[in-house]
Amino acid sequence: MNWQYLFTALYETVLMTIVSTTVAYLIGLPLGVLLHETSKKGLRPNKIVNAILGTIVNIFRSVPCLLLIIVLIPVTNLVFGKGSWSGNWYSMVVPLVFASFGFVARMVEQSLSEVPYGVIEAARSLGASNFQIIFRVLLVEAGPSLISGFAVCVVSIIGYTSFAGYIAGGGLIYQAFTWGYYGTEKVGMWVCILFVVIVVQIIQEGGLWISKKVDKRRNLG
Amino acid sequence: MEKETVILKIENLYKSFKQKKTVNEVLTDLNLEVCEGDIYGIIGLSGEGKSTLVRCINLLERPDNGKIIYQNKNVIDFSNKEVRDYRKEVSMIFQDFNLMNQSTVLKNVMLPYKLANGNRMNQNEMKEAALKLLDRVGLKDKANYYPSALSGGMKQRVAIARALASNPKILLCDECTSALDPTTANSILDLLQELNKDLGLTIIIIAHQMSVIERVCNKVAILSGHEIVEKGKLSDVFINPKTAIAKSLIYSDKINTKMSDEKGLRLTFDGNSDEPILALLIERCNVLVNIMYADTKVSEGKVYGQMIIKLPYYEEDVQKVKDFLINHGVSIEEVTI
Repeated sequence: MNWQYLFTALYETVLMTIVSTTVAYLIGLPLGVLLHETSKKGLRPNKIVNAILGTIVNIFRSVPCLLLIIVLIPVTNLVFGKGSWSGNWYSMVVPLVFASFGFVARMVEQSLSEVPYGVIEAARSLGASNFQIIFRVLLVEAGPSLISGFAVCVVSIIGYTSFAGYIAGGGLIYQAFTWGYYGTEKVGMWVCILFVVIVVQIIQEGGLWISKKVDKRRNLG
Repeated sequence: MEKETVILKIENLYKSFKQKKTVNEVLTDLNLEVCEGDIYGIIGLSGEGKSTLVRCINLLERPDNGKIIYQNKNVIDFSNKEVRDYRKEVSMIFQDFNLMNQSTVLKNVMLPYKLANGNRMNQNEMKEAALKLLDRVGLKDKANYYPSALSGGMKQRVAIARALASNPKILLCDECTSALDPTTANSILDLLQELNKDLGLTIIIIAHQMSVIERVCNKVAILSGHEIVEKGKLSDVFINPKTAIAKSLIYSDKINTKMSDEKGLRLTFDGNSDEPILALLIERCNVLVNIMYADTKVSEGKVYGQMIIKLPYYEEDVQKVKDFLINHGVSIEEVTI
């Protein structure tokens, strides 16, 4: 087994995931807030805006990641320059972002809807504007839930990184696939799988642990 | 009597909720005047629109029609910005406290300062002001606790401190003691009364229990069937309730007004008497009376409250009893019980 390959693959997976998650949240977080606030129970219900945003999110969530890679090649070309991205980890960033921002938005929407309505109403009764309610109340109160949602999103993005092989993007999962498929490195395949499992464990359990740690709802009560 | 200044005036207020195709009328043609320094109780059974009324006052609910006049302006015409400024003068506390669970007590009380636009205080000034308010409600030592570590009564005190931060003229209390045990509820009510006296804060209290109203309010309105059926000074409404709903709230089901239809005599004690009236009545008039209902309190040796006795059988005895009571300064009224 070639350790060099293994660590390169790990490095590629980690980078892909970090960059894609960051960009997916830059889009998904505000989108999730908008989805929640324009919904029936939100601060500013607006059926039309909500339907449009919901449709966009649903479209990108329903197109499989594999197809997104192909469909989005022009966008990747636009971002990184034609042809120059092939064989690099960042070749997957554009499809990963498009495959996951909708999911992120839905997770954020879900977290915000868990905040009790009374707290929002109290803020409103204190003269808070919608903007202030979002930043000073909703996002603060939804904090722990947003963190655990973040862990779930990262894990699902790691899952999507498996498609990187199709455009020579590399990564752990593709490495495992190659070694396993050609039967040359059965041990290497298992080591890759182990690495993926460990990374996922760390993110999922770590996320939950932090979420519980910062949640002040029952720490002392 | 000194002249009272009206601080809030509600005129012909209508509010309904649309549920699919049916329209559910909650308030119809409601009128109410609240004066500066009042502790105004609004009481009614569940589902009569008490909460809707108080939520219309600070526009958490938009009334369909009518006027809410505050400082000579109809608040229903306010722009969004004006509404937010108005809400800083008309604060509110809730049944479920509605504190931010992820913020400390201190940060909860600091929230209104952070919401203020223009000439903002710095962090230290906010902290000091919030600590002062927490001291006012007796919770200075709990400043760094999270709400989950506090009892219900403490949470409501924090909510009161938070509501006071914007320096309001009116405080709305929506069933603010309903989730608390009687002793804690009373301590909250006493705190509200203190604030009313010390700060001149006008308070509007929504409740479904007469005991809450009785303890702190100087005026009361009874809400029934989507409108106010009786309103006025607490003592007037309390001594002389006219409607069935008022009676059932005041006698709190101790008399079942629907079942029997007997004649009784209501004796009202307003502190004029310190004699054992009933014993004297039995001795002097030589009649036996049956007490149907009694709710009296002794304060500084004088008796306050009311009692309902069954009328004697013979007309001449009835007259004797009435004369005796009137001569002893007890106001009486024949009632059907």
